[in-house]
Amino acid sequence: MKTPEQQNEKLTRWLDGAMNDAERAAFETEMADNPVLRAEADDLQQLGGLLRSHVVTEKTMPHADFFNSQIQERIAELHRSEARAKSQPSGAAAWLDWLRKPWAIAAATAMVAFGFFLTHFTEDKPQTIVLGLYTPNPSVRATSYHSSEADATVLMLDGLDPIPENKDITAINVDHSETDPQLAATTLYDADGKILLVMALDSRNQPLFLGKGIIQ
Amino acid sequence: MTSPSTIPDAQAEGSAAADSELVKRAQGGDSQAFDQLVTKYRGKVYGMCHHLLQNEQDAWDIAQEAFIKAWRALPSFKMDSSFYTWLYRIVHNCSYDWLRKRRIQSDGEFDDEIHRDVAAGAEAVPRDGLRPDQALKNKELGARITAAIEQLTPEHREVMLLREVEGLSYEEIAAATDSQTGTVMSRLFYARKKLQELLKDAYENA
Repeated sequence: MKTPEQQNEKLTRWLDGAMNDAERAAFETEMADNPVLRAEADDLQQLGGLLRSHVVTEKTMPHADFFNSQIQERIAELHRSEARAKSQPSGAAAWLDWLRKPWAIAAATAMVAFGFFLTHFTEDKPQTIVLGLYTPNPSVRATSYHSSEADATVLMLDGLDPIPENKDITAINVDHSETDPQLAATTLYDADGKILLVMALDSRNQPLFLGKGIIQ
Repeated sequence: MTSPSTIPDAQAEGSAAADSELVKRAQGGDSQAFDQLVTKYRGKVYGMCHHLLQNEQDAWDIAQEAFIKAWRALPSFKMDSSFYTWLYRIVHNCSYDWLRKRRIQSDGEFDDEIHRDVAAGAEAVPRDGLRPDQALKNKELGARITAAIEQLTPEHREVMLLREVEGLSYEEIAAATDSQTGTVMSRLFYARKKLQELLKDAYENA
């Protein structure tokens, strides 16, 4: 005498074609002698056919191309992160991730030029590494060099229009940065711990720069 | 007696060989090969996420999360199962993480009633050449089946779809859902009984 659980398991395996030939033959003989079991098996088999003919698991994905491109972008970002992690001795580059977001490029168009600086310490002396330079105006060429005499990194911009007299360029010397992931804000500090610049998003998800800017 | 359902082996083998080549290239860092795998499986992955999560936007997000995790985990994939089975396990984990978070947020059990207003994941597939009245009847039947499937728990819904619609074996379902084959069989049995109860009049008249 089989328990209901054993009978259920056999019925399930029969329905799913998971029995070997001998098991299947024995179960079908059993069903021939048990009209109730046979009716149940037929009923569930009919149900399976109904499901297979009316249900699909595949579903057309909305914005499928965008879906793929987002994945490719995230894979590229993973590669960039790995490359940065390998090339940078410190974790101070976190704020640069923020700058690499698409809207940061848009923000940069509002500025004449923006240099990506990273200050870290080698032994007892701070050193600035220029990771990249971007000029939204292609006729402007940006270069940089380190002046030992001034102990500063100098940003050179060739091809700029004359700067209005009521504007002045000030330098920023980033000593360190802190990023608040929840606020999506990065704060740059000078060597005295004073805030140089806060970069964040406003309520419309647009870039927001607070504090001392490059051009005043 | 009608023979029970089987998987079309030749088609599955050809697909597996093509997948294997793409997987090898992707494991070597070829993101375009991975893009082809995404294109091939995004509909299935999105469909299963939608069946489980019952929300289009969440399904879209979780499907993307699953593919990103798959890319990161690809180096550890030894091709000892089909790519889809391996991928589906990631989809399963991402979906259940999401369901657990939703349960914590709602401070209750899984609520299959949530997002019932959103279009159902299962779709009626009218057969070609049907008369309009037959097509309508078919569509109505499809809607009933969809509604019945939605009443299953996520666990029962998942094994039912993987077995009856995707044609995965018990072992593949167990591997994909991180469970035992006995559990898979038990879930299948109770899912079938529940659907039988909900749809009995429908398929008797079909």
